Amino acid sequence: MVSSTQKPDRLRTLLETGIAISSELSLEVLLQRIVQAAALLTDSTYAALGVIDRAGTGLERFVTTGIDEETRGAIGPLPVGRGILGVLIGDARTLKLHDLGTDPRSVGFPPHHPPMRTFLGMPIRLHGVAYGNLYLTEKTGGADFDEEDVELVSVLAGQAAVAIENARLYEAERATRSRQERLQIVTDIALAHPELDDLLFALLPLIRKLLAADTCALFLLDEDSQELVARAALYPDPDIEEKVIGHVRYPVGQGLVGRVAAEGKPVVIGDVEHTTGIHPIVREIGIKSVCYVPLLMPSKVVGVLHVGTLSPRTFTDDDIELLRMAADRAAMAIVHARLFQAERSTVEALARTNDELRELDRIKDFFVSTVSHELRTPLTSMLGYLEILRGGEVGELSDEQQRLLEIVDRNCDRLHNLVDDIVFLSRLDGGLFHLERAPVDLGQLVTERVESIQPAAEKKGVAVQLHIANGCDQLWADPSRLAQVVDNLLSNAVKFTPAGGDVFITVATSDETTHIEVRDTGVGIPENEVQRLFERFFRASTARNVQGTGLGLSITKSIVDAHGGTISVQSRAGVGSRVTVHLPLVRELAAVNDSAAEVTT
Amino acid sequence: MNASTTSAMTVLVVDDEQDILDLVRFRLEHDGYRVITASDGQTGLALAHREHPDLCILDVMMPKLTGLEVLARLRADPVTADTRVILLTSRGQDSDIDRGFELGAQDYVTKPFSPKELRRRVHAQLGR
Repeated sequence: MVSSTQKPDRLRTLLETGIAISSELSLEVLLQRIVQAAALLTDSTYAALGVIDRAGTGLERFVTTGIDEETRGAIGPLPVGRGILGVLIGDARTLKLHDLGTDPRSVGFPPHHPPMRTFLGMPIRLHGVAYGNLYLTEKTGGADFDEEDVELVSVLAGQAAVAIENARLYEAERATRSRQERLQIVTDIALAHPELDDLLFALLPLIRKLLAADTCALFLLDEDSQELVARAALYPDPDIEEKVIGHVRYPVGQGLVGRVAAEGKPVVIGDVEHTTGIHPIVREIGIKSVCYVPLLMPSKVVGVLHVGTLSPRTFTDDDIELLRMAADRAAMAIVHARLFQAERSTVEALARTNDELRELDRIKDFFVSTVSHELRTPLTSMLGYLEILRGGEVGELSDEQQRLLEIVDRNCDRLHNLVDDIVFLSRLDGGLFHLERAPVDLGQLVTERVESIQPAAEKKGVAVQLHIANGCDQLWADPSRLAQVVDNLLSNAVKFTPAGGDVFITVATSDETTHIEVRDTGVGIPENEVQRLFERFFRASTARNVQGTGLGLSITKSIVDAHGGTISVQSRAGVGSRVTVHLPLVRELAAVNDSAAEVTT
Repeated sequence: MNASTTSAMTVLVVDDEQDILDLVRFRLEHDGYRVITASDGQTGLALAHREHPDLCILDVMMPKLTGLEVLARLRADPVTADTRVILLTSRGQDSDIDRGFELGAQDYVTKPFSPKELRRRVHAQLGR
């Protein structure tokens, strides 16, 4: 019996133990307190608490009170599944005995265990899980353990269960965290090494360490040959690494590596000696146990990763899971590295193409400036001396001589125009073409251009008729470029109109735009070719017998575009063509226009 | 003024192309000018300093000294600082033309030019 004065003390002891459990003490200290509290509260001489390991095969901790170190050391390992302890743990029952020595179940205690008579044993359980047991012996004064003792001890056993579970959860969490931290390193390494070789070089030692293994090797799937090729290896002997990397290869489905790739599932080999499908080199190295995992991307296998140990080892589910997680990250990193490499080679290829294009551009620029200078200089001589010859200044020429020299002159002009066109286009392409706008009297400009083409038109028998419906005397445009446009349209019209035909040119201005229309009764252009008229060097099928380069309309369009205008062609083969140019009246520049006009007036 | 006048105005032509020199000489001599020529800038500068011509016709695109460099040196020499200059340029070389005017050229003619057109410009500069 417990006296009433003892009760507050007991409660206080219980309370203190409870507080201790919820504070941050190590499990060892906590269990020690629980055992001491149990002995104190029940007036026992001896108390012990055993914690079963997770596998349930033995005690991982054994905490005692009431005996000296030497005696305790002599107890040795306690059985878990037999005798009294077996009852406590296996059956999860509380056991109260008057004389342990005479009880038939008192088997299994080691020979050096202190002698016990009265006995109170209690399982430590929580949520149906057995964590161990708590037992007390030799209540002071030889009395039996009573119900109050059972109650007190069961509270303590419950506290012990919570303490053990907490400790295990904490440890598990710490292990997970440390695993996650280590896996994070794998990810970090992966991100830090975009080069595949660098990546593997950094990754393998890390994975080997993560699994506490001795070897690590990585096979990558060659998509073309459908073979797994050893890409990286960490073996005790670098010579063997060299023999393996790039040389050992398995078709998908063959050998263990091939099988892991084909099935996409891990394979663990505890004993290499008695397994087929393993490369002889693995035995040569002295590897005893291996764990293979596939390198998986969501939809496909990228390769196979394996770690090995030089002493026999049973790879646990945890090990496999860890290796699998490392492999996932490695696979991601490998795909990442491959993408990076592909991207870089694309960028490099582009850079090479760019360099080549730049060089071509340079050659073109050089060519164009050479053409411009080297062709214009002889043209200057040819045209200049022709002018002197045909002017009769060095002697009268016969009609025949005049006629022949006229042909030379005309062809020099053609060459001259071609040089100008090529230089113009090269400036346009090089972004060097700029308009030099000024106020232009469009009616006057067109009248002058018509006058300039009249001799050629008359000679050919083509009538050019000008109609200025509403001239625009203050068009803000580049006068020489605009003259080029009109010249081009007129010369095309005359060129493609047979003798007896007509060319009409109309200028009309509205509020928003001014338009120039050139219509002819010439050969026309087949409908399906109209779209291509503005392409460089394009010549309509109806233009076969007429000289030209196919650059004129392209240049004309560029000039019209630069002015913010539009150009369109309507044509029917055999009937004639109509080219219409619309130019916007640039209002934003009205102020500039005005000031320029003031200067000129 | 006509071709026989002894006090004919002098025109210096500088161009690295002999054919162009001959062409300009033919045209301008027929029009009564005294024409002296040089086929490089250095010789042209020496001639200009010695002969102080009434007008210089300078080709812009020349190896070694360009026409623009010759122009700048003409302007730096007190003897030729006021000599009238017409530049021979290639069509489209607008920046050369702008630079030429900045340096003090009076006019320019683009290649290929008509000899008659050149004559008009020369006449205009020399008040004929």
